[in-house]
Amino acid sequence: MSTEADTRTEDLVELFEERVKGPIETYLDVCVHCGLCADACHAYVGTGDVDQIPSARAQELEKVYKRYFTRLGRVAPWLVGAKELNEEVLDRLQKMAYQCTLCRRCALYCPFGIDNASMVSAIRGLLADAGRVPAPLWEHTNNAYELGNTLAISDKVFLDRIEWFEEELQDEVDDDEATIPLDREGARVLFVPTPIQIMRFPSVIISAAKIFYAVGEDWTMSTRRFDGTNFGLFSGEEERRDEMAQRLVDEVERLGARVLVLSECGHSYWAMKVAAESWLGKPLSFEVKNIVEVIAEYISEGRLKLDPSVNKDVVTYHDPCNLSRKGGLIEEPRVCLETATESFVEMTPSGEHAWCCGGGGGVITIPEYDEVRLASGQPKADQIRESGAEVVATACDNCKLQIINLAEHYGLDVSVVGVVDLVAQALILHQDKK
Amino acid sequence: MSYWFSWFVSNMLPFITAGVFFGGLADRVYRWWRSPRASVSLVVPPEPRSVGRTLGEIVTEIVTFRRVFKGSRSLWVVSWLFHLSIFVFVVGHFRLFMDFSWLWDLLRLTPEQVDLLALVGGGASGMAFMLGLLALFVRRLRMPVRSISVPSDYFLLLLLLAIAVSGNYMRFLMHVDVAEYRAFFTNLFQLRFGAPVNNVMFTLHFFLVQLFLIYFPFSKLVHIIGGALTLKWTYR
Repeated sequence: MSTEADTRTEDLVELFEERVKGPIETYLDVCVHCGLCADACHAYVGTGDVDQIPSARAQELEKVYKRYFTRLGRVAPWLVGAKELNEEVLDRLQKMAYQCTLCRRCALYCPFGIDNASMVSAIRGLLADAGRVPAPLWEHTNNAYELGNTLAISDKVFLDRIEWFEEELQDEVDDDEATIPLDREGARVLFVPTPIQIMRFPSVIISAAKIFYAVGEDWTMSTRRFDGTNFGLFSGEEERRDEMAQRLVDEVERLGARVLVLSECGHSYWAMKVAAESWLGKPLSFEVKNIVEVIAEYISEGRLKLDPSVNKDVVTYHDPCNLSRKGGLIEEPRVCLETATESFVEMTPSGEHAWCCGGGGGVITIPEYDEVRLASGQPKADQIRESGAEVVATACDNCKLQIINLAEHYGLDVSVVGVVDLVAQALILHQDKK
Repeated sequence: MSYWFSWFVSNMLPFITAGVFFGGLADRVYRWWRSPRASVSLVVPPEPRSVGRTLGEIVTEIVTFRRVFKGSRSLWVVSWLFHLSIFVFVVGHFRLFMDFSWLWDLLRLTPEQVDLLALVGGGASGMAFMLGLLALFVRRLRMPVRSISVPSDYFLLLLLLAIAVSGNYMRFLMHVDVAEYRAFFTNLFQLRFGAPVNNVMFTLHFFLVQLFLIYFPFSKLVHIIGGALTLKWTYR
């Protein structure tokens, strides 16, 4: 006689098998439990909690997998440590999956390159099926799904804000004709910011507009799609994830733009540049770039005149995991910063080995995990302190928010700024008017 | 030790062992190879790399354990020497299967020198192997590695330790008549039954090794092939 709970477990198990097929099976076979991933993971290093060790997460997944998909696991679960998919296990999986930031640093240090992030994504998928996405994260996801953006910004509020940004832009460039174009069909570039930038870090949008103005870029923003984020990715709910990617694709195609330029946001770049084609099952008909990438191009082409003496503070750069390690954009932000600032210092390690700040993967939206999040940021905080920098430049909203939190929590005397902002500040526009 | 047991270990078990080992590994590799492609690129960082460069990265990784070196210097010393010793004594064991007098002639080594080479090479690798296992065992008993360990991890270490001890016993404390072993293995490879080698320690050692090989395809030891595949995914 099967109960409702049994049926639910059966359904979950069926969906589960789909997710684990493929590379994940191989990863589970190959992991030798060496523990090198532990010291590579900011969450473990910062909290000391052994549940944060990447191999521990993989093994939790493995225990459930064994219970339903291996002979020994089915007949003698106690022998192979197989676990049933009950509430307790779901709780544990939830904690493990949503406190991971999907940064993939562990994959670099694993002797076999095992990608824990894809295993955590599989677990998130399972949890989404079970209705176990942490509530605040799910709320953001549904806002974006139902209303078009994570912060439920209405069209009216958006237009008001853009109008204000445009006024700021006109002041900055001393030109009443300067605009932030909206819904221009046939523009080369569609620039898509994030709701956090619209509401909290508007300087990023204004700085980007200023730079586009300076090079005379043929660009536009969209009144329909001004949210580049993908909370479906964070919650692990694939339908929403794919839908959010598709919406951006549709908008680029509707406006006929040739380049989708994402703003300073880590995961939106990774989602559209690296993942979208696989999710949507078809190649994109346009290029995907990050604003920092585009600015580096302008600089290399000599189209931007910069005066680094405007930015005299000692600046260091925090590599957002989604841009550098997962996205491959390591040189580009440095091209920007080395030209736009006088005193640039590197943290150690940086680039693809950079420590995750601890704010990615959606964890920053879950207040219940604040303590863990701040503790996970300790390696990053130590790095920042060691660098002697006064300013931390980065190119991702979640990183900025997190580093601001870390600065307060760990008593770091640093300010946090976007790469785009530093470049815009150093911009020399009208040389005759200087 | 009963004669029947030695006879079983020396004549019948090897066929079971070979079947399970090769069959099991083949099944495992087949399953990996046939697994659906990852839905998203696993390459970190996602730069396009040529086949040549990927191959170079994988070979470098296998030969130098570069990632382990980066993660933990002390673990690298233990792990690298441990794995190197395996390579050395596995190659050394070939001397028990076939005659290498052509090689010794080429290198102009006298039989005494060859025996000395075997003693030193086998002895050093055997000791490195055993000490490496002990170090890894101690490491696994401590946190945090203990928290991600399962019974199978300890079982394998102890099994290998028993193999190491029995092997070292033969290497250091017994006279090894290579010709006798060569005759036995030649017989075995020709799929013939014959009299087992009259040596308790050898029978024990041979039995433990076969136990290890039978367990192999169902354990994490498959990392010797699987690890290269996952590395390939991360490099290309």
